[in-house]
Amino acid sequence: MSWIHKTAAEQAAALAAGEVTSVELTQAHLDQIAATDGELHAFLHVDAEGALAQAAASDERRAAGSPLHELDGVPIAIKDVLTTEGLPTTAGSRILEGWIPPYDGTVTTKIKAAGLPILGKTNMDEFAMGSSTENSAYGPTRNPWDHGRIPGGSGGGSAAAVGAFQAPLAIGSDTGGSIRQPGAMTGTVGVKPTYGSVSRYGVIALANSLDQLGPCTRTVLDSALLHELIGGHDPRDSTSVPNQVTGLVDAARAGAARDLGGLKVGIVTELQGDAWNADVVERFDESIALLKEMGADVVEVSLPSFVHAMAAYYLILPAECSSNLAKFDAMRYGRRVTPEGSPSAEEVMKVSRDAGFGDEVKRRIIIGTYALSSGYYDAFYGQAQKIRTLIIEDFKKAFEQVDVLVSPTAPSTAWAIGEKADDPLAMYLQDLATIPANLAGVPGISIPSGVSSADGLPTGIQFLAPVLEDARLYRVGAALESALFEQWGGQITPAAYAPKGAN
Amino acid sequence: MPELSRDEVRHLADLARIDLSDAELEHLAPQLNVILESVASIQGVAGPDVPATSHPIPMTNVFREDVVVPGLTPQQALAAAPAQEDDKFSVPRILGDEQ
Repeated sequence: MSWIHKTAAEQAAALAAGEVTSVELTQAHLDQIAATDGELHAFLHVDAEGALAQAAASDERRAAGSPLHELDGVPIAIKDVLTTEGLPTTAGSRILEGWIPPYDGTVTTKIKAAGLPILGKTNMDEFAMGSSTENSAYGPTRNPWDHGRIPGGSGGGSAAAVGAFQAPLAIGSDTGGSIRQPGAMTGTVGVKPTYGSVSRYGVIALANSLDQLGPCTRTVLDSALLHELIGGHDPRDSTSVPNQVTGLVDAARAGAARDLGGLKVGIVTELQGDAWNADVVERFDESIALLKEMGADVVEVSLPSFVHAMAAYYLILPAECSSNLAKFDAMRYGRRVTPEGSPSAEEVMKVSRDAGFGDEVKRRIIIGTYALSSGYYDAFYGQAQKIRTLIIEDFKKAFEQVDVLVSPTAPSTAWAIGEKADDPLAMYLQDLATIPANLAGVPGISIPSGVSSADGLPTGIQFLAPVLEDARLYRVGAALESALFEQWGGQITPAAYAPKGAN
Repeated sequence: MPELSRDEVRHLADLARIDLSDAELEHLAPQLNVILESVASIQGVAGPDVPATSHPIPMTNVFREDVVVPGLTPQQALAAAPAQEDDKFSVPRILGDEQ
């Protein structure tokens, strides 16, 4: 088995033991990117030179006996929504084509301070608007399991990169499921941390009250390692919570012992039924049986306002994004298109924004403008904010009865590229299970639950925990992962990318 | 609920400073109506007694230490400007013909 097929924790251990250098690890991942990304298109920008220089510096620190962090020298990929000084950052949009940010986002700063070589920037739906990565202005990312399928979205690039062994770790952002749903589509792990527990400074905002950065990895332990690295209070983010982000790695290690005695798990009534494909439910039910075998007490709980979550989300998000994206005005940075004659600034803005934004971005800006306009504000945006309160109350009541909630991550496996590309509502319905967590700020994890008996594509299971109780996700996630790995004989991997001699 | 007409979509796009072509209007207007029809289901769900939530984790008066930290230099801030002059952003005229 080559280095790229090892987990981030194993790569870190090998670095610590002197069995491999960061330059070797980084080169191996760059080689995999070079060999596979022409087809996969997980990356929008690869920084081979920069990553190798960072790796060489890491090796020097190791040799001197002073690594910066346990993950020092383990390479990482970053979703193109987070600013990286000197590296292009486009958020998947033409309006930011060629933009080189003059500063690092806080999470970038933390990654650099821990010594992880940055391989490059991963593809995404434009401004993170989408569930398939087809809305990227630079073309879709393909699913490593089937190149004719979508990898989920908006963070399809990060999930595909991790799933195809191009990177052991990646940063994603989750506004309504953009870390968890691509995890489910690609057979990888994705975590949306508690709102405010990872800094949003330097994140190109989609919807400020919903956005959260988090880890994309192949194992629960790797997510815990990365989550602890990127989490914590940041005075540059006024919504940052003051709590420390610790205990996640310990929770993942403890969970792997597979003792869930005393844990109460609630299956969400409203996230079952006809909308959920039978092949996804089949794998979900098997995971529930495993949780019970490990001692968990599984009950069903109802969160009645969840039925309104999608509608509330698709008003709150467009409202916030229509305001956020006003900053792309072609005046200070970004694409400027100047029409003929002597146009005014306003005319330049209108033409530039028409040329720079894709269809989904325009749809959401216009819906948001409508929802916020006088006469409609109370009926739409105001109502959506009240439903947000009802959903938060539902979570509170549910967490009085159970420790974690569980559902399938997404209603189906990955669909064919193009299948829903021009049907926004069909796309929105894919986020049914993931949206409530963002509305309430609670943390969530998606881990692979197996492969579908219908199409051989991965399926995902999602756990949700109360605000700031992210550790519970790692305990239950690591336990289920360990039980599933035993059944499968290791991780599930797409055949085209599996280690030679495996499967 | 009333359907958005083509003219209303054009007006909203104008407010959002997006110069939609006729072809785009043709394409987007029906899609917007499908979306609006779907999200309109929330009307009347929550009564007047339910408070609105704007942020999932309520916080008020968040301040940081009032200390000077380095900001961007003019060169850094202007590095990505479409046009610049004398260390400033250069923009097209801001007044219309009638002003």
